[in-house]
Amino acid sequence: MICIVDYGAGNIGSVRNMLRKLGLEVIVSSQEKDLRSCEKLILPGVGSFDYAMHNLKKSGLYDLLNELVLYDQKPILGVCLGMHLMTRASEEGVESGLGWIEADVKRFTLDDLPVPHMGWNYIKQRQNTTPFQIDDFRRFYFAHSYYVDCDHQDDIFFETVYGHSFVSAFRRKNIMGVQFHPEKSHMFGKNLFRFFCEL
Amino acid sequence: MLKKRLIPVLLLEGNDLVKSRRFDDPVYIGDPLNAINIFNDKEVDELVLIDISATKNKSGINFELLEKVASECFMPLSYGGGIDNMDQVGSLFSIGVDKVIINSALNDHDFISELINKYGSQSIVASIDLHVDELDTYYVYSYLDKGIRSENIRQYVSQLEELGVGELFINNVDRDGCQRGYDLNLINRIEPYVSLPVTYCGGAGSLEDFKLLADNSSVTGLAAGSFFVFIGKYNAVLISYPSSEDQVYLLGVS
Repeated sequence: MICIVDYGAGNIGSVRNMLRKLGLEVIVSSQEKDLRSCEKLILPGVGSFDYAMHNLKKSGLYDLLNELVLYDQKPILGVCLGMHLMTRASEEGVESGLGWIEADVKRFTLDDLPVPHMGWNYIKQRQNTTPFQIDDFRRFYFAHSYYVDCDHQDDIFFETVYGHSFVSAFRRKNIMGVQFHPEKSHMFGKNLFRFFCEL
Repeated sequence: MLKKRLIPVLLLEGNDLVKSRRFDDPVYIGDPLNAINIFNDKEVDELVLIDISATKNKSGINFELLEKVASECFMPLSYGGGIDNMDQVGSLFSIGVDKVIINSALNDHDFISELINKYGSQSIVASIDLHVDELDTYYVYSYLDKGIRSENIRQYVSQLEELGVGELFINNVDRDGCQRGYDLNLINRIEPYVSLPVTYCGGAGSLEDFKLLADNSSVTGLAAGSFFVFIGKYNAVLISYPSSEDQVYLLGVS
């Protein structure tokens, strides 16, 4: 069972729809018992950093997620803003993040390219994704104005170029975050969810 | 490198899929769910759905239909039509819509700011309908009263950029449904003062039209209605989408 964490600011419907299409058992919840009993967690996200962090802290999910992810080592996938929340902080807001990955979130400042970075872009793999091949993750759909900058090269899973290279996915043990929207990336997104499910 | 997106724009009127011509005379095309399933199988870059009756006829948002659509949509889905309050937008995102397209309610700056604060710029698209008069003057068109919404396109656009919308969806009213090519002159006039991603719609009738737009402008969304749903000079309904090979020809990548 996969639990999509419902903290009041997510693209929850589309993530749920794709997981169901893949034949996975999925629940959308903010209840402690569901988060504890599921095998994997997904932290979705559309919205602003502060609004999301404020909701996590206010609802008590902040402490629960720390326990489940850091102590129980439950696999978790952060999507878009959900990925940002896993870092220390974001230039988008003043709240501190969950801080699981040593990274900061910065705003794109590009002279000749529009921001947000919106559309289909290509990725470069930085970690082994066996049994999945390079073509299984060729391109993904992005829609964001802020990007993740990791302290440690080893955490970088995918890189993408928009004006400059940025971290389009990170992974350290049970923690994974993706900047793009796998739930909106056709078969490439389905492959990404399949990869996460095998972690 | 960012792939330019080829975007089918589908118009809804109640539970029907329709297609207009110069924003008028909508004709029945078929069942929206059937069409969307076909577009999904073709792995299209993005889909835009506009309910042309929601604001005009005050019929509201057809959540029942949209929920069915979204559950089968594994590509970015934008929806426009009848959006004027936060609750609606919350419901749209929770059923799986990715971006909301605002047109009439753009005048309500407080509402737009509230939307952006809660959901972020990237999910808010400003729809701008442009019209050219006999004197070759372009202006922002208001489809509700078929009149002028703003004579100063530049000012109108910069106001929206300041508010923080994430994308512009520019419709050329005069070319809508005509399939005689995009008005490149219009988009080339606007793009120097726009810093947001732009999707441009109105006039595409052939692969060459997309190629001309891709090669001669900075727009990142190449949108069309008729091209993706009609075939032949009698406009028989047939849903199509450029193949991978055609996309390499058009955009250099697939």
